[in-house]
Amino acid sequence: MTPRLSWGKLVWIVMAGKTNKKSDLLQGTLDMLILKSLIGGARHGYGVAKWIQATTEDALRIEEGSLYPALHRMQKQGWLSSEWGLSDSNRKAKYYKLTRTGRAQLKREVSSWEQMVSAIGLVLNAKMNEVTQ
Amino acid sequence: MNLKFLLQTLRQYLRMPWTAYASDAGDELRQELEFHLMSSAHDHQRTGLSIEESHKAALARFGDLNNVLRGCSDVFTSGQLFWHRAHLLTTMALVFFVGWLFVRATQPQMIQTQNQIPEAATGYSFEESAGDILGSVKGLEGEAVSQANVIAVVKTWPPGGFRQQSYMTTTDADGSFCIEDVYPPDHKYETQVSVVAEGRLLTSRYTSMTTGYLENHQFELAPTNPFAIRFETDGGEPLQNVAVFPSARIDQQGNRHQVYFLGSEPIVIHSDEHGQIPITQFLPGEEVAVAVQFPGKSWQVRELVVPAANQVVVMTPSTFDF
Repeated sequence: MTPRLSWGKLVWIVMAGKTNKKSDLLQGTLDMLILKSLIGGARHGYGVAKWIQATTEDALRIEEGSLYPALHRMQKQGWLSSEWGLSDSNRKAKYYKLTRTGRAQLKREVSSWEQMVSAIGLVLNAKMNEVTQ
Repeated sequence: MNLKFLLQTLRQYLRMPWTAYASDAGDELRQELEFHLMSSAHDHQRTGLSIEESHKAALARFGDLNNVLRGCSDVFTSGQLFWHRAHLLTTMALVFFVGWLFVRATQPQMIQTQNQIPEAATGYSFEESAGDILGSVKGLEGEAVSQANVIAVVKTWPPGGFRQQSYMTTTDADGSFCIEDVYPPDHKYETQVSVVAEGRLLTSRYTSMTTGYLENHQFELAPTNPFAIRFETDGGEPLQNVAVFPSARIDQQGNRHQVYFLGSEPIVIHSDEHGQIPITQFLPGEEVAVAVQFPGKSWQVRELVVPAANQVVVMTPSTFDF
């Protein structure tokens, strides 16, 4: 079936020059990781990167710079709030904090992730005869 | 895209110009990234790297700085982009609308100018207005009356409205007259032709709503017995320079002969230093009207019964106010 483009979506693409990237798997995953990193309290961008690195025991090495467009986008969407403060090294740093909307979004992201992992798990655990039937 | 997000971006768009990113948000981002890179370099330095190596490592870990800046800039401007384009589209729509209004307002005039055909006083084209008013003026004995004033008023109903025009000529030595190209024979029109001559009865002929060419007008003007009007102030002082013209009379058959005010200018006469003026177009005993204009006043019509020959009728400004 040919996917249909609604008028609303078309107007949004033309006017804002954007397609809906919400379904993008990588972006969704990164959003989830950032939201999760802030559940324990406010962090600056470098802190978020370090937390993800440390928590995943260096298994997930994301390009640190890619955090910032994501942080700014999430802030614009109202999932995060930010304020300038002083870091441990006494330098001026921008701290991000999870908002109530951000918490709700994290729940949705986690739920969605779990569903996907479960679905992939089902595929990977399926026996060959079940798959071919 | 939710309403809150749209309103938020609209507020930002209205609050700062399109280029504000570079000065405001851009500065903040630079500070933020600088902190990140310095912190990262500092951490690398702790692992034993030199300052230069630690900076390189921090940059390598960070990724393409330009991509990050562009990405953040895109995020910042994405909302404004919507409003910016909406703004541009609205402005363009307004410009087109104003242009359309202008074209619409000026087009009829342009078409009118393009289609404008030289128009005669009848309201029709010159070709259509080829009707002449012809005729002759004679006395009761058949003698030609020359220098008689012939005043014609022509009414027409061209597309776009009613027209009424007056024309004036004087009779030739043989008493004939001709007023050319004054009515449209193919369309409806009306004419009133009046003849005013010295010592002759005011006579007019009215042709009601007709088409085609008019027959020649044959006027036979009977001689009259002149009388005079003397204009005086209420105190009895003679009034000089009062304008007068014979306006109407009713003949013995009850027909009304009259001169339209429009076109009467050539037959206007003025009272002399004695305030007196001879009237030579009526017969004694007739009910007549004269148009009078006292100096500095408007025209008014005074009705009277014509006295016996050579009698004088006195008129003052306060009597018979119109």
